[in-house]
Amino acid sequence: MTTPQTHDDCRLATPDWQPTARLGWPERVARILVLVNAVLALRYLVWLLAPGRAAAVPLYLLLVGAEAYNMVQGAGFWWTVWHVRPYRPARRVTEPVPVDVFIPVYNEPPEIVEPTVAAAVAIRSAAVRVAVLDDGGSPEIERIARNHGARYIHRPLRDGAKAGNVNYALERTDAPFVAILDCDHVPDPAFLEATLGPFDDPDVAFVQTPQYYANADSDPVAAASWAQQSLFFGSIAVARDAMGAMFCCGTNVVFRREALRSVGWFPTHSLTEDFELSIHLHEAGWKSRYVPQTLASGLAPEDMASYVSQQLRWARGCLSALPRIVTARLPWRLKLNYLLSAAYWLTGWTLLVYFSFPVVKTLTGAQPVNVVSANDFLLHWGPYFLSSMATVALVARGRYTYAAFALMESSFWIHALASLLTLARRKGRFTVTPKQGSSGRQLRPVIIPLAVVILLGAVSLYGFTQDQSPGAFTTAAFALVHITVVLSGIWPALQPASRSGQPAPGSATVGPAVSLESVR
Amino acid sequence: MAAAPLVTVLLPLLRAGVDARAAFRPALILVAVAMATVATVTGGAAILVPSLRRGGREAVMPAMLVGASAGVAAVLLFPAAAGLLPTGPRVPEGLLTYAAAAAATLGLAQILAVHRLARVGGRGVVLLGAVGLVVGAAEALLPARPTLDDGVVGLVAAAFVLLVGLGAATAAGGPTGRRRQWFEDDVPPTVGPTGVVAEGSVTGSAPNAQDPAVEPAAMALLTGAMVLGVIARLVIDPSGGAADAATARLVNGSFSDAIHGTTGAAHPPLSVALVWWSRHLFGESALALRLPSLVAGLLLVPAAFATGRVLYGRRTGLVAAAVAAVGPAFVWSSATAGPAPLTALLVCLAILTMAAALRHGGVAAWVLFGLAGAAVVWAHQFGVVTVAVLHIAAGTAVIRRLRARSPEDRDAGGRTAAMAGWAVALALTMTALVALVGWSGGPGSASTPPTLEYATNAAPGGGHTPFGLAAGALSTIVGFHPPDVTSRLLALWPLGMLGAFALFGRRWSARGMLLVGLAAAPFLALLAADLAGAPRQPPLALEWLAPALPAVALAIGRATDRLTTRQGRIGLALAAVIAVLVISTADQSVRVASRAVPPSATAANPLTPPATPPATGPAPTTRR
Repeated sequence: MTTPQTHDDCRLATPDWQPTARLGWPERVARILVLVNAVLALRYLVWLLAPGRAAAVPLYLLLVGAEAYNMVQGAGFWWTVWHVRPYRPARRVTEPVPVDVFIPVYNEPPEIVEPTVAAAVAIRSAAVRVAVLDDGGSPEIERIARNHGARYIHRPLRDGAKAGNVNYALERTDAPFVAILDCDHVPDPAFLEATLGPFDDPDVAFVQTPQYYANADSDPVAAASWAQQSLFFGSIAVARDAMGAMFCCGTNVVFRREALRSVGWFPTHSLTEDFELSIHLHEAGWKSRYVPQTLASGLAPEDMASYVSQQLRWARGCLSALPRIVTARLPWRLKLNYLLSAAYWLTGWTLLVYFSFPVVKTLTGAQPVNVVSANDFLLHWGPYFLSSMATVALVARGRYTYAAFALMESSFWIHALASLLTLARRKGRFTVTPKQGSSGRQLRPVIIPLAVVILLGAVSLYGFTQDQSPGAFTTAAFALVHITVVLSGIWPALQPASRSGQPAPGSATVGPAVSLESVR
Repeated sequence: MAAAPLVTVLLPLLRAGVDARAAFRPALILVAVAMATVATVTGGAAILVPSLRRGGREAVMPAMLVGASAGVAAVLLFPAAAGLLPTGPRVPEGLLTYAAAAAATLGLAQILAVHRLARVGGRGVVLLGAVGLVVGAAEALLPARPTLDDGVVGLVAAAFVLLVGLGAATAAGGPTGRRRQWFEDDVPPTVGPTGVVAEGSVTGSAPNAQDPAVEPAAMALLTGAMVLGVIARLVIDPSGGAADAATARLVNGSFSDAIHGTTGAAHPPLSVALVWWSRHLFGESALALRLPSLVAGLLLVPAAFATGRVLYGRRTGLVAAAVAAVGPAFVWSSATAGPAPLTALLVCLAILTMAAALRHGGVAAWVLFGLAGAAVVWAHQFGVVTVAVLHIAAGTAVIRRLRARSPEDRDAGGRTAAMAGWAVALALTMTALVALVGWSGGPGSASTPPTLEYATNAAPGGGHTPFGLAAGALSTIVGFHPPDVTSRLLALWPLGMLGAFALFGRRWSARGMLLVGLAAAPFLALLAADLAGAPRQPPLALEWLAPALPAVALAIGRATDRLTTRQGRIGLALAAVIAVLVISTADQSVRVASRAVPPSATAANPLTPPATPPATGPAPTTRR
């Protein structure tokens, strides 16, 4: 007997998003902006590094470091955007190629898993052999697998987390291609028709497709999280494909078994096994492809705790891969792409530097640079800032929202924590991203950004009591900008049950979130 | 009605004791100038806005704008042309311009009359016309020994009565049963799979233009905005500034001297020419010096309404009009004898004429667009950049139409004509640019006198009292604060970063891109000048940014319109009220405090804010 399925599961609806697969006018204008950005960034840098600019030297060095880091990241983004090319679809495969479809499961609710299994066995064209890889050993999941004619694999020892689970299944299956779907990602029937074509090239190791979140309308955190994803799986992934630098994102992906075997299956020591596997494959000379079609619908983190858990895992995994990237024998273009991706997770440090300036200025009067006037600074920094913003907005085609930006900025502490833990060589625990949101206020995941907001607010108020000069107004205005953005980012977590944490329609009936149990 | 000049100017010649023979020739010249002006104003509106003759209410505002533009041109041109006539008995100095101005007003009244005739028939119009003529004739004939001056005064009176009467009748009229958009959509906007709004042109139908007619309520709100604009500009009487003094020096001599005096100035001579006329018409007062700015600033209100309505809808137009009426930058610029308000008005008219040309085609519309662009080029140093944005937008729209045509397309001729029309407009603008460069020999001075952006510390109200707070609130709305307050408000510039974040999550339409382009154009020009090693001084002065003013008003209107929920609008209104109260309280405190402070203590240059902390903004990157 199967679990009753709700008919309003958002994952079963037609996706309302497809990545940009053409070179439209926003991309063309963005290319012009890239050139403008380069000039403006250089102009600002020259102004910033002018002799006599430094006021308080330690603060100045911090500022220069933060700005240099952001410029490098910005340049990487512009470089990527420059490579957006129109997508040429590969041959649609209609012959029955044998494909193993793996659905790793670990304590996720059956009602989340069942639509995925049902959709997987209905994938067209290929000779699909669906296997549910259940690390939780749930009888309910086993029943679902059996009822839908899928194979149920449960290993006796849970070592290596998701990677270990997949490796265990790889050794017990034999199809030449292996598709991996997270248990919340419901595939389209045409999933393999669209993704097997690129394997005509014998050097292609894997084909990645977008990680679409169908529950973006259900919750502010999910919406912001999806907005972040859509920027990556939109123009950035298309451009990376053009550069041959797309990396595996863990789900909605098809592998050539031979390629996996050549690198010894999935690495089990990483928190982001997909990212590290991509490095191994590229280093071994394999190619990767990206198919810009939404071919599976999944669920975004629906509350702040889930989001923090996901981001922390990604940050730790990517940052711990940095030494591996540096030593990897990769073409410079690939190496640069990997470095930029992994180093993105250091962005939080620059935000901390920016947050600290109003505090230091108010309490000590020290500031990083000497400027003749506000106009002088504004004329050099303003155009660079605005042009960079416009580039992101254009490339995202309206999908990247202020909420996504605010959520990113309020995640500064995750980046900092992840890098500290990585530096300390603390072993991470693979935590499955919860598939349902909890209802109610969640102070714990936002306690640090909330403390920063309170600190900035208190210092600004104190500053006003001490000094009402225009300079104090500017300092307070900077603090207010940070307060507004960070508060916007954490706002969903501060809302009571009625306004936050509304579960997605597909998961409306479920109970508490799964526990973040260690599997290492 | 068109016969009013004949009645008021020629009738006094029949009075006993008047030397009709000596006065006949000057009177004829006056009548000719007046009639030509009326014909220009009325004819221009009737040709460019054909729906006026069909009685469409939506045609009134565009027709009045076109008429006003034609009237300004006629007042400048016809008296000058009359001065070239062979010698003979001369028309008293200045009288020709008065007559032309009165005739232009009469022309505007006639536009309303044409509309009323087509809409409700002739009874009311005939009655009003008769009243106007009687008043005019009475003014002309009442003096014992009437002169030509009295005839022109009669013409002024007749025109005023007719314009006010017909304006009231038009505003009070009920909504029309016809619902026809001024700019209909040629390619319906569609949201493609990528989420980008695809549009055929920048003049696609306004999203909220379900009811395109100018309803009485909208007319009333617009009139209210105009009245507020007048009050804001007249109540605030600034004490003058370096810009006023510089302009006054320029226009003290002959017209030729004034024009040639602008060769080394920051801006081309169009606004100086208008100021020269104003000084010679209305005397040496400060009001005469600032009159062109005042008038242009007020005309910008209906122009912003019409432009906002064409691009996005009535609500956007109304908010844009309100911003143009009482927005600080708009009031500031109106209070100074500089090129800013004229430039803003011309940019607005250029947008309107471009939209009309793209929608309706026709040589006249394209020529008018070209002329508007040429006028912008001759009005402001950075006008050329703004006009370039407009031409790029127009050219892109025309080329997209050409590319979109199919073999079965029956409008191929129209599309080709649009291409030709755009080429004509471009040629006109380019001619103006070449002529300007040839005449001035360069882009203009890199510095401009500081404009009057700050009020003195004199308290407008009665200290810490409700009246004082109300007065402070008015100051807050229109932006006139003591330097101590203004410098602090300007120091809040980092909050502008929050506005920049509004770029995110937006679907970019052609109209949106046009607005952004127009708003960014003067900043880009400033940036280019800086990169070229000739930074403009003072940097970011309002005068340099004048071409962006209409786009700013429209963007504010659009942003407000986007808050479609009642909750959002209430929130915005509350935030605005709180901001006004907070700023006005601070304003009032500083004004009261400043009374006890010796004048020298507040003499710091407000244009040089003190050093500020450095870039503490978030990373302008978003990368996974």
